Amino acid sequence: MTNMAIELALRARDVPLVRAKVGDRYILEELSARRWLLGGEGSGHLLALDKHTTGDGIISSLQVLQAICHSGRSLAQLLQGVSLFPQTLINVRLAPDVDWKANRVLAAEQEAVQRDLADSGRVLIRASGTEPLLRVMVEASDAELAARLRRTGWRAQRWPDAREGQSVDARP
Amino acid sequence: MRRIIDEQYAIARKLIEDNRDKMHAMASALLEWETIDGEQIDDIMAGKPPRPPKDWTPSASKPSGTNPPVSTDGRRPQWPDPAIDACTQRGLMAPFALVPAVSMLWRARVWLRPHIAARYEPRPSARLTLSAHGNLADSALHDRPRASARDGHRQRDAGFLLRRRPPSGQRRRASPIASAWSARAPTSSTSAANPLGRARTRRACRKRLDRVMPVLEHACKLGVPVSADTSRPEVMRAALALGADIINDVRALRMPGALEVVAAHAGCGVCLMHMLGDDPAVMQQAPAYDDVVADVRSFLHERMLVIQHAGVAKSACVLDPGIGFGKTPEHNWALMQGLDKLLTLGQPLLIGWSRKSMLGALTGRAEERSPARAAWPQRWPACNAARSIVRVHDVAATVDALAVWRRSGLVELAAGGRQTHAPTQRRRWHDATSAPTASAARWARRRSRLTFCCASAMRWAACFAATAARADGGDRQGHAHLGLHDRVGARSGLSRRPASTSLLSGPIPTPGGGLPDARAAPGPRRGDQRLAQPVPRQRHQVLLGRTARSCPTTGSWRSRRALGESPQWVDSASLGKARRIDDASGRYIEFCKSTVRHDLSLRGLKIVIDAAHGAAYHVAPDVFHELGADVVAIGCTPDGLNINDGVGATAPAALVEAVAEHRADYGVALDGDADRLLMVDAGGRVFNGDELLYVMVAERLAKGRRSKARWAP
Repeated sequence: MTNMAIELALRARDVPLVRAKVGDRYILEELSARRWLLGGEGSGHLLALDKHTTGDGIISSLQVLQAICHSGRSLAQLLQGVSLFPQTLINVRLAPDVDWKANRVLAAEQEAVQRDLADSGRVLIRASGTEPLLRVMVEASDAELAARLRRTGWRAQRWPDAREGQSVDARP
Repeated sequence: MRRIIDEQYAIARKLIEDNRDKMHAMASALLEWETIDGEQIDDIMAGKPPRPPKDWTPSASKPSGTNPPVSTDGRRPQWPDPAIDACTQRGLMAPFALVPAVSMLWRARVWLRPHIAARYEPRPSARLTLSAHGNLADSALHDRPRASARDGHRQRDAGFLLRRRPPSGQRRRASPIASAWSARAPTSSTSAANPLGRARTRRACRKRLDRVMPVLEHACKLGVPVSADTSRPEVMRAALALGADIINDVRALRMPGALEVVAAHAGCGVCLMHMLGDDPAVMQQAPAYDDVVADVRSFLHERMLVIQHAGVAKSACVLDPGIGFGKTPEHNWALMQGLDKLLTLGQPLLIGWSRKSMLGALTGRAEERSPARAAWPQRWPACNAARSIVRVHDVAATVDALAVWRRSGLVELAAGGRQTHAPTQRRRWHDATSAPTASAARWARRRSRLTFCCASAMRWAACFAATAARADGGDRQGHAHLGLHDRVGARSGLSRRPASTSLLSGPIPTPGGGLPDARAAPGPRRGDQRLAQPVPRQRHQVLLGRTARSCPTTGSWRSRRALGESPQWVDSASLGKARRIDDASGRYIEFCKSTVRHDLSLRGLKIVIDAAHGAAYHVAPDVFHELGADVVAIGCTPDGLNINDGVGATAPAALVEAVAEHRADYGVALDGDADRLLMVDAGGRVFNGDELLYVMVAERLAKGRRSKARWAP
């Protein structure tokens, strides 16, 4: 669920990026398969496989501090020009035996929203691994656009099999 | 002095030489009787042949010239014992369990609380499964099971078990299998080398199968669990193929091939019984134990370990002390009194002793062969023992008796209970282990169940995965690193599998557990050439719930699957070897420092470290301090329960506040297991993993080190 702003920024610097499933072990798997060095996710699992074999918070922080010290710029300055797209996370509670992947209404809705967003955002739907929850993430470059989508277009009620769960703003 | 010694020596020598014949007579008498008394010595000294001792009775087996193996202390009976011989003649001691009988066990779940509940907290796991067995005459083959099932069903908490037997008049006679067995026994006149005997064995077995299988087939259709009582692997195989659920073996799967049959059949229940020796034809001939309860317990324990090692789940296992199998009535009573000790094995017991001859002997009505009523009171302690299964012949009467007991307060029975404590726990394990993203440790923490057993199971699972990885990787060495948790000091469980183990001293962050050994080794480090080279991947290491190596999900899946199983034990010869790594945290700090350029100095930076009251609580501040930073540490006072509690990467607000309060330049927030990172700058802006990743990438691009960096794993 790496923010789209990072993807665009890396693409601008000609750095290839591959999205793995959520979870540091899947990132590790992808990196191993491609023999790449750097990986991570928003929650803070960062892997630098030339330094360590697994994600390690201390080593990652040292890497960042090293970048700060050697560049002589602050963290905020290093990230100038890269502003994360606002993300909205909606948790939809599922009935235990619902097959959400087979729901055509949901699929059509997702497609429509994605069409609206085009290159300026994305919609992600995934099931929680631990709870009967569907996590819906909307990400858009424009906060106003994301809010509008949330208000008008993207309603969990429009998906007849589920009732709307708790809505969480991951990054207001 | 020399003169005295010489004189006395000469006297002694003369005495011996003069009485040499008497000395030899004494020696031979001692050889013959072991002890000689005063009268015999008088005889010898008088030059006569000594008389035999007073209580000496010449044996019938004298012709060979050897003395009979009988001592006079009365503890061991003479052979042949007339009483036992008579029993054998009557067929009482014939191999009861050899008959591969078909039993049906309709299990009902009955909750039972011991009547000492007022003083003792009643264990919710206490469970009694009641079943019964009855003779099945050929004529009643199809009616009795149904009738008994109806009977039991109406009563809700009873069942029945059918044991196929000839009519009582010729009980335990003319059993083809039994004769086949005696033909195969090495002491028998028909030796195993005799082809006629073997042919007869095969014929008998086939005949027995032909007779039993229709009954079994019928029983399997009744929709109740069916238990097949047999020792023979071929019968087991046939029974399991027909749909039998339980194998009840009086030999505890000691016949060659039996263990493999059961192990290959997943989900099949096993009842292991103790029997003295392995031949029921001779088991009652002078049974002797040092301590019958201890002997039976150690036998059952050993068999349990063996079958678990073969892959049979512990939960599938029921133990039977084998009342009457190679035991005198005293032994049986001792076993009944020692049921508590048998229950310490942690397995349910199956106790079947209704209609045993010992009851008849006690009541003095041996001819009735233990009236059913006599079985009730003595079943009482068995009922009282938690999770026992009691096998009776008379279902309805037993159920009636239990109803009366329950009403009268002698025993509290709550019929219809479906769940017991133990299975609930097991199910939770399985839930947790099948959840694709929850790691085992996290699961345990969430459930607040980081108990000794849970920690043991996790260690075992990690070790299991390491061993399995070794099996997959050919020549790769399975290796596990074991850190220390502040609250769980025990490290058993890991070295109980044949994997090598490193014991790390002191709590260190979880990622530190996956350090390659070459990197953790002491020695010059910063700028060391070794670090620039990739470490050969010869060791496959497993963190809890995760491998740090090439097949992460496979390893983790293995760990979780192993978590759902009972830990298995190995004999001492195949225990893994553990190596102690002292100063693991010091090494880890050095390792962390070695990952940055040697000229990096954090001097002049004020950094707040938030270790989330977690694994890095005493390592992380030291790393930054040793690199020159001015360190303020928060979240570094774990008390075992406050991990991630309002601090750390999952709750960055605390760090933002601390950075502002201390006017620090940066804040570093780790999570409980120190594999996640968030950072905060002086302005209170939180940088998440995505942004930090970008900074790391940008730094490498700026340095142009992209081509130089080597892929380490």
